Amino acid sequence: MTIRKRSATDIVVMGAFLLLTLLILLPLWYVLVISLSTAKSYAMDSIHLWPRTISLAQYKLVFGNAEVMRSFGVSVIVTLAGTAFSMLMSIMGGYSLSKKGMPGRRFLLTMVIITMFFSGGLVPYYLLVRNLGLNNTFLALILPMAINSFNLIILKNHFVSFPLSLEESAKLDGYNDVQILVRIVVPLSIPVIATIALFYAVGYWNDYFQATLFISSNKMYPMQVVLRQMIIQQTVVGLRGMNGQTIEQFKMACVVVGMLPMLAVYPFIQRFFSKGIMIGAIKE
Amino acid sequence: MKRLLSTAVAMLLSAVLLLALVGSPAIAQEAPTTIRFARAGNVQDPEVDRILLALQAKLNIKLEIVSIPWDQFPNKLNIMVSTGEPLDFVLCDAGSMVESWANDGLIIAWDEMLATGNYPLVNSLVNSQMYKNFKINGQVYYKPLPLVPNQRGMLIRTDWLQNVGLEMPTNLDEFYTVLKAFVENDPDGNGVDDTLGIWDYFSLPYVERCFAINAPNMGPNSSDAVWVEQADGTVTRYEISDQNLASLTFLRKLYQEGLLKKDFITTKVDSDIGYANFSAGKYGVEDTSNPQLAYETLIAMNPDATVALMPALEGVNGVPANSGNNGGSWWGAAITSTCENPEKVMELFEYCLTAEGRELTEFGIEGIHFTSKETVNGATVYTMDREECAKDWDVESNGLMYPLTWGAFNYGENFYIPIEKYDYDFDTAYQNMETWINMDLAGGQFATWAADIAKYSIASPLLNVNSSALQGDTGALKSVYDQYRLKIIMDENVDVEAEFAQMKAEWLSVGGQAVIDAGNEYWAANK
Repeated sequence: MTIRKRSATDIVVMGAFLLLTLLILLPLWYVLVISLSTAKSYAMDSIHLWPRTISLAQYKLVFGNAEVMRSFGVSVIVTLAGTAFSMLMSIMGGYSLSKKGMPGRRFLLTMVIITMFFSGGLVPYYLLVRNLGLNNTFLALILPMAINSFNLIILKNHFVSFPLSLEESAKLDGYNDVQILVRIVVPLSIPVIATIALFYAVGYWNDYFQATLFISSNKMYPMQVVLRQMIIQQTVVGLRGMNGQTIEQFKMACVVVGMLPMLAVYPFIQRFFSKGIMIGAIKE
Repeated sequence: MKRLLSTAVAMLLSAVLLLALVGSPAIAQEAPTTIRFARAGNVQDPEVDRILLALQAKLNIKLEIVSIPWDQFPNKLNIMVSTGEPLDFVLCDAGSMVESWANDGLIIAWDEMLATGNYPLVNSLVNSQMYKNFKINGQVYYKPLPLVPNQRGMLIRTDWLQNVGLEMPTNLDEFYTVLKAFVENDPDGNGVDDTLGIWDYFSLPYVERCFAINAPNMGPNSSDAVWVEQADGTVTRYEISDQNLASLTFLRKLYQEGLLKKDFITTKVDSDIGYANFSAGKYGVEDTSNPQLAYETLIAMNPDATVALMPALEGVNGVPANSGNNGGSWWGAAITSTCENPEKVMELFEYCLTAEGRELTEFGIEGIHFTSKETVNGATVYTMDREECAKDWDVESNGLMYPLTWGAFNYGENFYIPIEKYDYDFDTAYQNMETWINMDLAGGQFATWAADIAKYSIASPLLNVNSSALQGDTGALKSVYDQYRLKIIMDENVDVEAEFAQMKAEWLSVGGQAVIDAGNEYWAANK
């Protein structure tokens, strides 16, 4: 077995990637270190590269804060319900549009693609949702984001590349189109479905704009809205147990808690990720 | 006969029932008028909050509050108003958005209602010297919610002053000497060169105020368009004024000698890091809008530390440095064109400016939220019932301050402006505002700081004029100014006067000259 000697280019490339990795990890690490700092260690340390003391006090406050936990619950509900609904709509839409015999297929596909380049504008969008009576409902956080054109087209391209003979043989066995989709196509498309589901889930989890636009009740704000208010508007001043010493640590603890669900899900989806994202990208 | 009797009895009973119905209060009293308004970050429910219930009962109204997240607040509000969302009034910043709503007929003028004489308190406020310039096209569309001038103060470590053997500074020279001693004379006595002079944020407003009334960026929502009266009676913008040249020269001296926080350009207003640094004993002076919070943070880490609110420095023209006044307002109310009963909204505004209305919306109901009030050192101190207050708002988050004390129907917390007492002269009433505080704050060191600062309030030229002609291309003007300002303060090799002259020329060339001309035209017409 021979080991290839690393060239100077390899070392430069590795160095560049190492630097890139640091650029990504350092802010996360910085947030984590501050969230674990005590009031004194935070005030005395201006770099926050390493926690001088470790305290979970701020996490206790986060989990004991009704507003934060309620918003966390809202985000979980919206993300789970939204992702499930989006996948249902996108799979059905993508599969239908992949069928060449579908009447009006080209027109519908064009309509979908147009939305990727042009928007109706914020005011018509607001008016539409308001006139549908969706303001101040969870549906306002889900329905407008139910189908992402990009994801729909990835799924459609994936379904187009499915061997036609497989579906024909299923039809010979007496399956109708819905049965073919549910029993044949979906089980064989798990990598792409998992990947798209992750896209949707991250989108729902991170979204704050829909809520700021359509929700007028504090009780229905998702976590990202609450977090943004805390970080941008300094609204943590005066929260339970807060004072000038621990505000920054509390905010950082909230950010960590906000990131955790997505970080926890990623490793389980990752095995599908590289495979799934390429499926449907090229049509042969 | 029996039948006749039965008929007569039945008719009599029917008549009694009819009379009872006609005379019943349920029918006699009008149904409450619904008032729906939008406010950022509202947490109170008008259906259960006893203070709001009392307010509604008093005025026979039904309040509906549309809460908007702080984030994206102006954008959402603009969309709501522009799309004709059924609202009766909105609370928002003054400026181009309100001006465009007025021009597009999305909000209504109040002049006819004010002319009826039914709203004398509102009338005195919107026509005061301080707020009259909020008018749009000569008409009243907006009622600002008054605050303390600048809503800011300087905290100074008095134990450090004692350690370096200096007195409280009263003018700029003494202030400079104190800052220098805080940096060089080891004020904390730990034998290490680890102390700095002043913690301030990007705009360094306190120092600027020593040179001109209402210097830029002094407080929440202060306009960037700040005007200075010149010796010849004309006005000019602060950025290119002689006063600013003097201010920049002084700031440069502080910066170059290491007395000013080195990274001040990246500091946000009331940054948490500011509190942390001050509490860690790194700085001797801190600019803050919340002196009590800064103080509590400091003594939590340095129990022996002592501080005081720095009195107004004497400015270069003899005017106290605190006298700068951004109009002392934050947010204001505008009545939307979708409002069906604007008189009722005006009635609400008027009532909330009375002593009774202010007390209700600040301290709640006597006998429930507060049990007594007494005068202590010139302040009216309310003894609150914490348990009862907790039934109506989150006292752990807000303390004893009712969440809608500010930014709803009325103005800043912890004071009352006695307009009636001063014969509806709002400007004089403002300078003589009364401190109204709860018992928690009465024990603090800064109980009367709002009223202390208000004494110095002076309206500067063209204060609160929001005309776009007087603002100019704010982005371009600000870009030129910020660039040169930082260079003058931070670059040790720069020739200050030459650089300032270059800034002035460039500022005038990117639209500043048109702004100056428009300002003088307005000044001549409205002085």
